[in-house]
Amino acid sequence: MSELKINISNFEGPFDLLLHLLKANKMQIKDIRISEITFQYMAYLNAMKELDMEVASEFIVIAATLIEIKSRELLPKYKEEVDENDIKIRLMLRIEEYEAFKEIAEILKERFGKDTYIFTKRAETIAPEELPLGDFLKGISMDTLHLTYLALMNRQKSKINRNVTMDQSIEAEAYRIEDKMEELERILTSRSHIRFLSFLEGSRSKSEAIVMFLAILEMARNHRVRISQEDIFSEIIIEKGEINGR
Amino acid sequence: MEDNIQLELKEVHDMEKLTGALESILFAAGDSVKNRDLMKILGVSQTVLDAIVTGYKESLEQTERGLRLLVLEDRLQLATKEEHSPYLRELLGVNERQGLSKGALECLSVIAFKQPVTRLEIDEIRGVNSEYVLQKLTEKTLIKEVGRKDAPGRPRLYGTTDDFLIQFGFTSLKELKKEIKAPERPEVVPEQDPEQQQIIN
Repeated sequence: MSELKINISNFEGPFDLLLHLLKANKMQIKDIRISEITFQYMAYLNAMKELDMEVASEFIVIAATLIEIKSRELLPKYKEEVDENDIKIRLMLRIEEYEAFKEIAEILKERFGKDTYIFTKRAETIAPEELPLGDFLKGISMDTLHLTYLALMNRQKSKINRNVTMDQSIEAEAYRIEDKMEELERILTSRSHIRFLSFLEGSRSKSEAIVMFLAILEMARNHRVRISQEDIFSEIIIEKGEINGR
Repeated sequence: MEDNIQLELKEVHDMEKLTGALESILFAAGDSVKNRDLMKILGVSQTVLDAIVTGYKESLEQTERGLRLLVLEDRLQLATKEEHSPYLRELLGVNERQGLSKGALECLSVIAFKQPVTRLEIDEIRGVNSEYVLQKLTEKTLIKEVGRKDAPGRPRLYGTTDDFLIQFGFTSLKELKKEIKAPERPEVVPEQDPEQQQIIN
């Protein structure tokens, strides 16, 4: 393979890079040799990474497409498989379309008048004439106005929610985790271990059981207790853990 | 014989009056005015309007007047002449316009030919994310939102603006498409792949 001079220039995107590679290899799009191009494309991406440049995800998507085409070309063909030419042709069409628009962009660049500026005027603003009040309220009696006002206010009133179904007060917690943690410590100083089930059985309410559960988890996290289980679905045993952590 | 001359003189007089009226209308409007509306306001046919416009446009171009007539699609607009832009820039305190990036030009190319088009469709062609560029182009009033596509997410559709035509020296999209060949989707016939015989490294 001839020496590749990798010029790290700023490419607009993967298609831009591919076009550059095609040109460097003097290849027409229709004659694209996927293997060579893929190799050079990947070399470029690696060089970018080495220079700590961010490789946009779009480049990687096209890299994957190239590698897919290349690998399909290597493998023996099975009749049921998706025609590899399909993927290849689609890629080639996309490169061609991009190339066409890139050329148009060049033409537009020539035409862009950087130094010149032509100005147009904004439209004249013509203030609307004030309507005399007499005309404005033409044909409307005091009665109509009054009824309109009432209707409007009633509509607004009906929108106000008078049923406040939410509690205005917040309940204090019946059980606190800290209390349960202390309770657990006390229990474990007198006994070596305790069954988790016994807590559930001894709880007066669901809240109490949940808070105790949370207390156990918290203490397990700090290695103040140890939780063990012999078999799946067997008893969960809670023991004293190392106080200073393991 | 006398009558003919009288008729001609009257016609010329009418033309002058109508040209003056056109000028007033375009000045007050500022923004572009549709030919349709001009025909209605002036009370003339398309043919007469065309004659007035041609005459007026030429007179502006040939003299030392500071204005020129922009013909955009089916609209007319008054604008200043390019040669006076330095003075105007000084007056308005405007800097030289910055050039457009490669990406911006690519986006413009796609939109110019494929409008109305969504960002996703543009991304597909360019192979990169165009969100930032489209934002910039909208700020520069070179493109604008022209609607929404009837598809999931109702994505925005983009199109070019009059400013785009003006800044690139086109009078209409039709002229643009005449000058620049539209890209076609060619039929690709892949050559017989010689690699099928080789062992790839």
